[in-house]
Amino acid sequence: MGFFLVLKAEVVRSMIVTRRYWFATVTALFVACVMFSAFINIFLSGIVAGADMAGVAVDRALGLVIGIFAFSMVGMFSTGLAGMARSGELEQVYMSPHGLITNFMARSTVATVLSIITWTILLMFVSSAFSAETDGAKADEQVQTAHADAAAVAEATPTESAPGAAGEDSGKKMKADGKIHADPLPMVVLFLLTFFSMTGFGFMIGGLVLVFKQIGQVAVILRMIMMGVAWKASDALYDQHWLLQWVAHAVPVTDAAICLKLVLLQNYGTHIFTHPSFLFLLASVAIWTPIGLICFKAMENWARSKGTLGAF
Amino acid sequence: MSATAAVQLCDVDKIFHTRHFFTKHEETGKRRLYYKKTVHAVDHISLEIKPGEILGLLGRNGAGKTTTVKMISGLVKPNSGTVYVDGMDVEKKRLKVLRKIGVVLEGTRTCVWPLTPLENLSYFGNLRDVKGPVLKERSAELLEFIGLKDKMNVEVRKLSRGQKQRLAICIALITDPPVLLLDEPTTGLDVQSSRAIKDKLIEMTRERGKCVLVTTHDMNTAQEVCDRVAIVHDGKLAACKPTNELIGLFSDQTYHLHVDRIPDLAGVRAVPGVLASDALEDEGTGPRVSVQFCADESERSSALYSVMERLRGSGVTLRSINHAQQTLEDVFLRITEKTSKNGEKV
Ligand SMILES: Nc1ncnc2c1ncn2[C@@H]1O[C@H](COP(=O)(O)OP(=O)(O)OP(=O)(O)O)[C@@H](O)[C@H]1O
Ligand SMILES: [Mg+2]
Repeated sequence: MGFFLVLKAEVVRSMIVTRRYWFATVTALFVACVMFSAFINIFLSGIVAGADMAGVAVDRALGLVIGIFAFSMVGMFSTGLAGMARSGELEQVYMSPHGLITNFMARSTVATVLSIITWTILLMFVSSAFSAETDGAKADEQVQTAHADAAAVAEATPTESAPGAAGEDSGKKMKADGKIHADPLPMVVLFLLTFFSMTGFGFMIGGLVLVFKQIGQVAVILRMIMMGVAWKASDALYDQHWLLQWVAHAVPVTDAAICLKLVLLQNYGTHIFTHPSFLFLLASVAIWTPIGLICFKAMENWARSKGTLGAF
Repeated sequence: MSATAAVQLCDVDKIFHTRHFFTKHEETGKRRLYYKKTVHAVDHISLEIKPGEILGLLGRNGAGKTTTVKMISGLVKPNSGTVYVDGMDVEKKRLKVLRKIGVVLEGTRTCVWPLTPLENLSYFGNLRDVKGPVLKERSAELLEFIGLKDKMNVEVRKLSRGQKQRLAICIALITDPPVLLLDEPTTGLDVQSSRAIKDKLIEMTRERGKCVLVTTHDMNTAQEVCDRVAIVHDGKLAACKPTNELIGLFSDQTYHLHVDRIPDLAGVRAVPGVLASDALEDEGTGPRVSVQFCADESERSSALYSVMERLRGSGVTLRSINHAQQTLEDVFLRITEKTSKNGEKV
């Protein structure tokens, strides 16, 4: 199977690169940790007293994780792809006999797994840092126990969690009541669906970038929007104006974020499968994946006739 | 298509259209809101390369060499015409064709920079289904032959340009493909490595029946290694002949006349059938006049007689007369010059 051959090559490559530039990797991770904690701190301090502080914070933190994931995933297909074309790397990849789609599927799989690992580490770090900090004067009792619990769980869980769910698991460990609602089945299903809707969308953008390189720059705005949507998304969406609802459903990350938040933070479990957002997520996969692949294939052909796989 | 050709281009044509917004026009230099530009990069070229043959593709900058190579490797789709590799249509069986060819493109980004040469070879080997002991053995052998063995554990980004180029050639050879397409493979290489590559190319084609297309600006390389040479000019195929034949093409049209003193050259040039003539004061052999005659045989013959008459008339002693020894460079210059003047094919 071509996909697994390419996957193996990509895994080996990213392992070597991560190991070789471990210092850069660790520094980046550290900076991300600091920024992330600072961010949540600022956010918490802005919340009116009496609100479910930790609950909202966890909700937003999870949204941010999903948003950043979407941001970097689409980034790989936009600016990343354009850069590869400009440097000539894309032509080289294009000449591997498994085709560009297989290649990019493998690349995005590796990138996803890598980001799950990164986020697990990061969230474990942040949640433990948090529980230490909230021990201090300003924290109310509830939050304090919650984070102590979260830290304890963070150390205990890695064995039980399915690989696909690891990232979100640890996001949830910061949940205020300390309970983990990471049902493996919904998590794995949701995770795969999120992955496919995101790659489907990514392939569509990637196809456009193959022919119109400047779209890579324009896509930054789109990526920002996706991040914002993931950050804010909740089922409060269903109370909004119908037009806004439809626009939001069209963004591939919205329903994924809502579902993940519901399962992780509100213990929806397998009930999520009957939630409208889950159906919208299914629809989003069913729509974005074929659109993405067809668009990519067509644009690939067009790029070949315009000669834009290279630097032009 | 003929059964023997490993690579065949049938009447292949490529036109590029580019659109420009708010940029300066390339020719007039004036800023324009919008303009469209059309480049006829490859103009109805037909070619074939047989197994065991090295074909050199020569041409000036922008003549369409790289575009031709990219069309054979499926990176660029021709507007019309068909490219066959090993009997397969590149448009219809692109992924299969890719297993048959090894390509070195221009530029240095053809390898992964954060990896070492050895890791690059296994990365690209893995992508192309070369695995296990075969991969190990072949990588070692390739790095040895190309002279990168001592650098095999240094990251590519720290290598020099020529070393990167050598690695690119190794990567193209990792699958041991029957067809090799090399776009300016020896630019930036030192004498030793380009020698090694030339020898390797000759060995591979002679002993293992591979078929090689190489584009280059280095006429000596072309003359040394290529069995046949194709010259493209403005996208058109200006000539495609076995190297010796090509070199001999104008040899009966240029003569060196060794004389005792330089005669009146304007008079010689005025003779119908004489294309050009110039004089040279050679220290060893004395003064020499080179005369270039036209291609038509009877016209040339009478022109040759008239030149002799003219020399005798002006009292010049004729010591000897012989064919000029041409190099590929002379021929290349003449063909490209001629094609730009009147567009004819040799
Ligand atoms: N993708 C493209 N879009 C637009 N024009 C292109 C494209 N690729 C090539 N061209 C144009 O086609 C012409 C032929 O280019 P090509 O790269 O084939 O030349 P070349 O013979 O390889 O030149 P060199 O010796 O400089 O490498 C050039 O005028 C170039 O600008
Ligand atoms: Mg070129």
